[in-house]
Amino acid sequence: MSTENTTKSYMTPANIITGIILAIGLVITVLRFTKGLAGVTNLDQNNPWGLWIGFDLLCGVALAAGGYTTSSACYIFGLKKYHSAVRPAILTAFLGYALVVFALHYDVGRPYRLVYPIFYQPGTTSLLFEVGLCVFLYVSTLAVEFSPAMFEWLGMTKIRNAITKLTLPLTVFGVVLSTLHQSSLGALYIAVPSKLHPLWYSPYLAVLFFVSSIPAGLSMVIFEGTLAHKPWHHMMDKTHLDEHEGVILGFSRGAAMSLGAYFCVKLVAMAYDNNWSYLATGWGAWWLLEVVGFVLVPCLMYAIGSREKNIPLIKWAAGLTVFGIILNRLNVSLIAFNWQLPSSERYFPSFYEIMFSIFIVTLGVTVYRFIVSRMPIFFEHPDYKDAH
Amino acid sequence: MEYYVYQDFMLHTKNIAYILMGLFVLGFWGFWAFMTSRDEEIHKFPEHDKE
Amino acid sequence: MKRRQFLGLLGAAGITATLGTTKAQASTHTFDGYPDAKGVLFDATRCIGCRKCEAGCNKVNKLPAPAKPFADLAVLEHERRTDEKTYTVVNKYRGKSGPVFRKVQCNHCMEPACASVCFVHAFTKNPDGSVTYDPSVCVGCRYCMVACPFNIPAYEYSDPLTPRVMKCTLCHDQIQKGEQTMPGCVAACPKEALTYGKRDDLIEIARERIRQHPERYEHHIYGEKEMGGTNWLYLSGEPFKDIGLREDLGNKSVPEIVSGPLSVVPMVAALWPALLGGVWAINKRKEKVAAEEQKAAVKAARAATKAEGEAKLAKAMESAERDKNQAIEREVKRALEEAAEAAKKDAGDDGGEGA
Repeated sequence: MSTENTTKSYMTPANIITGIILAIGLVITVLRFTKGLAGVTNLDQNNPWGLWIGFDLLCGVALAAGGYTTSSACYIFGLKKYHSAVRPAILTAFLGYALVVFALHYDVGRPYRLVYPIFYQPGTTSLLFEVGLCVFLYVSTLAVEFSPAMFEWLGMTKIRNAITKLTLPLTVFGVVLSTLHQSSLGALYIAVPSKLHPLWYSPYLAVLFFVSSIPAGLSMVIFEGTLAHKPWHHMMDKTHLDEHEGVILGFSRGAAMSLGAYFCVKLVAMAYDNNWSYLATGWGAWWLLEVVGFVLVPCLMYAIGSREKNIPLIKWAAGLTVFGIILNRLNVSLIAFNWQLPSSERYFPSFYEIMFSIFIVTLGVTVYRFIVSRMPIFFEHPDYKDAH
Repeated sequence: MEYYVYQDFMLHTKNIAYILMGLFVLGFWGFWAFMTSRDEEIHKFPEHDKE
Repeated sequence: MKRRQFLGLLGAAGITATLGTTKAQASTHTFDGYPDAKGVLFDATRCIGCRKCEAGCNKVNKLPAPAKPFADLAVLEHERRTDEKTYTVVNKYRGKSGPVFRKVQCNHCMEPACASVCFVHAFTKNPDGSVTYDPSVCVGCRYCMVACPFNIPAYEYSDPLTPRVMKCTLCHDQIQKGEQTMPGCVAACPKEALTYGKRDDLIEIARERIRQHPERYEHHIYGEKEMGGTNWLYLSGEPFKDIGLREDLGNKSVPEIVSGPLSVVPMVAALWPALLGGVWAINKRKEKVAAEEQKAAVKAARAATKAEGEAKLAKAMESAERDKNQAIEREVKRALEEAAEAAKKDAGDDGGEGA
């Protein structure tokens, strides 16, 4: 299953842009590890977490939720018709988490100690410990879950067959870990009631983050499937193409229901703390934009789309949902965080911080392109047909 | 041991909780394997859906 | 009343002794902090903003020299916070009658937020009341800075590979080693605006001051209960929010706030595998039943076809048999008829010739 990409010239516009971004990433790497965070970021003593946590970590993890939602739908909830969507989703999740861990090496002060919380001196009262432990275990789980595709590509049948036998326990383990760290990422902010705006602060933050990760994951599968469909159409086998529409329709229904549930939890969280009066302020308008514009609206779009089998509408809903989740994570971590500080002390990311986040996304897309054009992701390997 | 600080007490109990969690997950696997070991083929634990 | 009697009975029966009365029973136990924990009482009505405490702190902690000398009081014109080179600063606020000053430093919480959120347990609440930091395990994640409600810990952003979190230690090390008897800032204060002593005693002193001069003070000791209580306590003649101390923090400590979400974590590990395994088994069973039903249906259909075929065959055989028998009968009959006819003919011929 060789590719045209490798034989064609590398000097395509996409590759040139990729090359430039990767080069900037290299520059940022040098600056970060010679001048420290002060050399590349706008972080300061009052704003210790910036875009690299707000986007790279929080959004990265939320949008990589497609891995556990898809694999549990197929293997645990018995929805076998989504089987062809599992491998692309696992691959995206694996790359997403791998990049989260990679980006963390830039953000923390002493990346060489990243294993300390797990192997040296665990601070178990911290929800960040919980996140760290789960991300560490989950990225390993995803690597194993993804590995059969690589072993098929390399023709290592024995080990491939041994690992596919572990599919169910790995899936269950993945759902346990995902539930834990998706919710704990929100729970990180439960410790800071005095710094986060009341409309975003809630004792329900853990529930909110976990519930919203489900539509985030489902929407990313739809979104990414749409993007991948054109360039890799020739790589997709009949099963994948036949199931594609069913996956979109089924997932849109799941996304509609989970977005509806998320909307309810959002409202309850607001009412539970009696935050109604804030709705009349500027922050309230911003909150309503997030909750109505990027939760309720895509929820209804998904519902209508799945009812009328309107694929383009569903794809728009997926885009809106992904945007809405990113907006929510940035609101919690950056925009509504430290809202009481005077505007002169507020944080805005530096050029390098933004470029680094773009660099991380580009890196992910590049590795994704490399893998899907070689390994059996969109098609079943001819030697292992019907084997799963 | 007596704790004067709630934080220290929590550290102690959470340490134990995490050890228990590890045991739960591993124990559950073993328990399930034991429970289903005499079932016919289709009920066995790690079977990847064979058609 | 009745409850007490019941407990008395229990005691008499010796049940209490059997069950034990261990001190660390958490559910009913309260955590009141180390009994001999020390702290500092800051009295804003006495502070003159001379910055001598800043200089004293800088000296005993061997911190780098500041950009402007400590004698320069012009720096008070802008509100400052602690940073990686400064453990304490004094800020100037406008009071009802003239300027008021307030010292900023780590408040040494009784239930420290930084310790609660640190994922390598780098912060410790010591028996002497201080909260100290261990740079030898710190990963540099800065969650302590996010969590601190007083915005105290500072980070060495310019250090590429070995940045530390810097904050006031209540001169823990220096006092342990016997180099000092009190924190550097307290020793340097010329106006006794700072008092170092046992926290319990400091609260008594503060109450006494308010009682003696109720007109001079706000009737509140800031830090007695805020965020679960701090070992650094404040008295002020101005509302606390006007001297940069937030009054909306609440009395709940961060360890208490996060105990709820933390308690859910083991539940997920305990319940999810059983729940998901159950869902899987139900689906598998459904599939199995469906497969068996399908198999049975196929078998039944096959059996029906077979039976039908056999019946047909039997019928065919039967009819064939019947045909055969009939044919035989017919043949026999014909043969007999032929034989009879032949005999008649013979008899006729013979008779005709003989007559």
